[in-house]
Amino acid sequence: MSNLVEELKVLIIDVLNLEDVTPEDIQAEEPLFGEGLGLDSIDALELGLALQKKYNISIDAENENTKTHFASVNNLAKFVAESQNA
Amino acid sequence: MQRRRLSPLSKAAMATAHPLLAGRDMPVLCCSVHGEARRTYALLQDVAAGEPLSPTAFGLSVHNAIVGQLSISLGIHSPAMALAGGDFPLLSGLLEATGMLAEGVPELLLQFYEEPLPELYLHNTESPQRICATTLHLRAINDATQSAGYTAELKNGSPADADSAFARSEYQLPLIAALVDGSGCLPLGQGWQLTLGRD
Repeated sequence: MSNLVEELKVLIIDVLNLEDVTPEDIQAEEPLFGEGLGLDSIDALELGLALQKKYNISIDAENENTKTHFASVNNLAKFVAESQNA
Repeated sequence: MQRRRLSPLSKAAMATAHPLLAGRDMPVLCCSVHGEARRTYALLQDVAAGEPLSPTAFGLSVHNAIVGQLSISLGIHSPAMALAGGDFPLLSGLLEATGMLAEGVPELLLQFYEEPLPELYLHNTESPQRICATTLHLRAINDATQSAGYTAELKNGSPADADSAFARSEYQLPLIAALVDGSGCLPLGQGWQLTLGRD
């Protein structure tokens, strides 16, 4: 799981072009959107697309749980791990 | 954090506008023949390959994306406009700017910027060799005693004519050269010329 967390941090930095951010700067439990890292709704779409491409998982924008899955890197890692085992 | 959305071209546009604004709020007029052609081309390649499109690239592929990012990042609340330059971008930009000043806008920024084009387009147009951005701070002079540094006047009836930007892509260079010289006439196309002087 910790490998997946680190992998997701690198993915976030790469796909969102976060020039001045290193994986160490991203706290796995802190919010990704609004406060914390400060990402916005376009970033959420971009990240969703990257997850679909890399892990071949589908994300339902209408699903209430999606918001929880995207809340932090830890939540994303859990979501990706569960989707891959499903 | 906004930097994550800036292309090399938008960074050049931002870098030339920022020192001229110096924290002030004024209308910005951005003029580019091709805009962010590289971003649009990358999207088209994804479409052709049947790949899903990047939402960020899609959102920023419109012609006024750069001026939009500029107005957000630099806190501009005045109108921000993007012009497609066509064959004579200097003429398009300067005519629009002159119109705005004539209507009572006291000052504005006028930008021109271009980037090297993807190879596919080179059959139809000349490409700039590198990124080039120029920003002018323009003010209307109503009182002849006002010092302006440079003065510029737009006139019709020029004997010389300018090349189309599709045949000569480095159209900003004659403008920069004329500004460095500080005087002279610059043909803009369709019979118009810019006359520069120094106070």
